[in-house]
Amino acid sequence: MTEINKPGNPIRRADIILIAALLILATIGAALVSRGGVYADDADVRITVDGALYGVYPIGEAREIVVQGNYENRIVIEAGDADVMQVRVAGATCPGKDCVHHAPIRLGGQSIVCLPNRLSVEITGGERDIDAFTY
Amino acid sequence: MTHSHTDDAPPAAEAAKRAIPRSPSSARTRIRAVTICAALAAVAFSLSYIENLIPLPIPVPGVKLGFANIATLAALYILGGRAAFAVNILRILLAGLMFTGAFAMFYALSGGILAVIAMILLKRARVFSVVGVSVGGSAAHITGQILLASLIVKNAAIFTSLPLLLISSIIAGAIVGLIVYLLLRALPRAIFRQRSGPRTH
Repeated sequence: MTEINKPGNPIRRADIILIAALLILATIGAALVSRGGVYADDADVRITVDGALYGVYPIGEAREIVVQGNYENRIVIEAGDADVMQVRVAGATCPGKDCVHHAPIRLGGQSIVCLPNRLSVEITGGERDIDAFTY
Repeated sequence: MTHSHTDDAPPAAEAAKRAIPRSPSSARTRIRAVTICAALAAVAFSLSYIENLIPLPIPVPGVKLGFANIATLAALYILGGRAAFAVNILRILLAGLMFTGAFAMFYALSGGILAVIAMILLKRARVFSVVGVSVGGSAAHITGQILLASLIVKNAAIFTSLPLLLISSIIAGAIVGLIVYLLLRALPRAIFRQRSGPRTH
């Protein structure tokens, strides 16, 4: 049976079923997630390190939080006008700096993680609580 | 396994066999397989390197085209599952030593292993084309990465980014799959007759 090594048709029926199933799964997931994806003035910024709560800060107050661990993360809450309210990781001493490259977050349910430092920054609360989704 | 059929053969026949190797002898086949495997690992590493040089204009880390998977998929279809495994592991180890660093390497290893296992199983099902196999592997890769990431930070919040990453992985997987389809179609037929050892499918 050498046929298995030949490319065959580029797309078969099973491929379409697989892709459709994954797309449906992603859409359901996105719908579930978007329930928390709203902007709220009274939302909180929740920081955990290695699963333990490090601190909860209101999104409405400008603040800079420096988290020390295996590495250092500098988290900035930019407050002011609702349009500029956002949370980002402004600096990190970890080698990859994926957390710094991550887009700023501002909606409920969004998060930034720093894997080397086991840090998670997420926006919780607001009108629709998504705490049920997290641990 | 190379000795089993020569053990019972008379010495003269054995000597004749050694003198005039039948084509293709298993040793030659194996050398070819190892050579193709090594070449594909080098291709995979180069693709990883190029992709690392050109960051995508997407503000979420983890979104990648995964072009290195072209070489892994080619290994899977030309040589089989074990070769695909070897190509992907070699690529991740090399990339880790050269530019991604130890932490990212171990992180990538988890997704890479999961992706190869998924692709071997999907190919074995025999109903998917290389596009389906590629999409499944890419979806398994990102799901595994998110799962590991949430285990590392001990927080499930990162799962909220999975749906969008899943959609991007489907698109990237389909593009890679189509490239591999064109590649396999363009390769000379003879390259597919050089499998060694028991078939994995």
